[in-house]
Amino acid sequence: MTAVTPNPRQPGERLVKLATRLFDEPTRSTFVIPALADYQQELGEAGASTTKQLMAHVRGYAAFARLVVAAPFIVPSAPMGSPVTTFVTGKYGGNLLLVLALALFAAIRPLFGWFAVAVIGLGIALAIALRLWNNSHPDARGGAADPLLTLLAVALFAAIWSMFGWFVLAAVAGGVIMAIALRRWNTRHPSELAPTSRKPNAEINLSSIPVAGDIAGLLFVIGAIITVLLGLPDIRWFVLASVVVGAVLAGGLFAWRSSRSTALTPANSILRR
Amino acid sequence: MTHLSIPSLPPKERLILDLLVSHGPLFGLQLVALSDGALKRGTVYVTLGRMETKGYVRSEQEAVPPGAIGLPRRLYYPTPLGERVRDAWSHMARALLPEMQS
Repeated sequence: MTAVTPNPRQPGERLVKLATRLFDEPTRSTFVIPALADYQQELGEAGASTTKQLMAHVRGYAAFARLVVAAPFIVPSAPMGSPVTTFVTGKYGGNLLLVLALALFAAIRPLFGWFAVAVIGLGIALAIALRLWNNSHPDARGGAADPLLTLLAVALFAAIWSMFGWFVLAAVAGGVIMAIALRRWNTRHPSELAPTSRKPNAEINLSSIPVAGDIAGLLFVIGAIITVLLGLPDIRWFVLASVVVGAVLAGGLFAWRSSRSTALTPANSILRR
Repeated sequence: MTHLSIPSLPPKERLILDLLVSHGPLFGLQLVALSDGALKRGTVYVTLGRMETKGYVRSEQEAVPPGAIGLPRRLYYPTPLGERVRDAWSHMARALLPEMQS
């Protein structure tokens, strides 16, 4: 039964107001309001006992905090309407990435000088050009962007030639060999993941690149790390720390995913091939 | 090879269905209390919401008695689909038990 209290000011009223600001209506009515109703129920059942009331407050606020943290990532309607979810997963999240990217460029500016500025300028120009092209060719597949990307890669290698010398050639050769090896391996071990029916977008977007969690993906990551370490030995400790943190995070995500799914679903079978 | 889209039933969802089938309709807080710590306050509603989307449970808001001023709670019921999925997973678990134990 719903808690009935003589106090005209309801416990959790402030949380309800906060929830109105943080979540959209479907999320609020489905997840938040029932949790706050539980909080009120527990508080009503606590009676006059100060200790029980305190525990009910702690549990209620903790449940609300857990919802605020978890909802943006797992609520189906997350990208809709809520400032928190929009910030994390929507265009503000994208803007946040842009700020992080600019901060990264600012950090490496002393190492690369005007080259970093030129890369930013070229990158923005390329992104705008691709977006304009994509808008005018909504049904095109991603192949049209390939020559542009190849051109960009060649320009990038040419620009850093003077700084890295033969390392650039070694990196190109290593990359080509690795690409061939990965292609051969992938041909002999085709992915068991169900092919997606989604048409790929003709734009540069890392989230559109399918990367399977298999040995080929691991080789790709190791190759990328070695390339960065050879090119920028000054940041080796930063890279090492990143690898450790990334491994811990990946382990946590894997454990979380394993606890939520079943051993027989196709998505997990790629690990056994 | 084409994979059949078999309805998934993660352990927490299985536990919720078990509790709903054995105890009847329950509120979220009652599910938390009966789960011996396996379900947490707050996030239990995220799991329940996901199960509702899958069609495993349905919910209805409790009727607020006249004069009551608290927020209404939601009462959760297992659906026939949820019960069938639970039964199917139980059958499969039993069938695979000898291999899993060896």
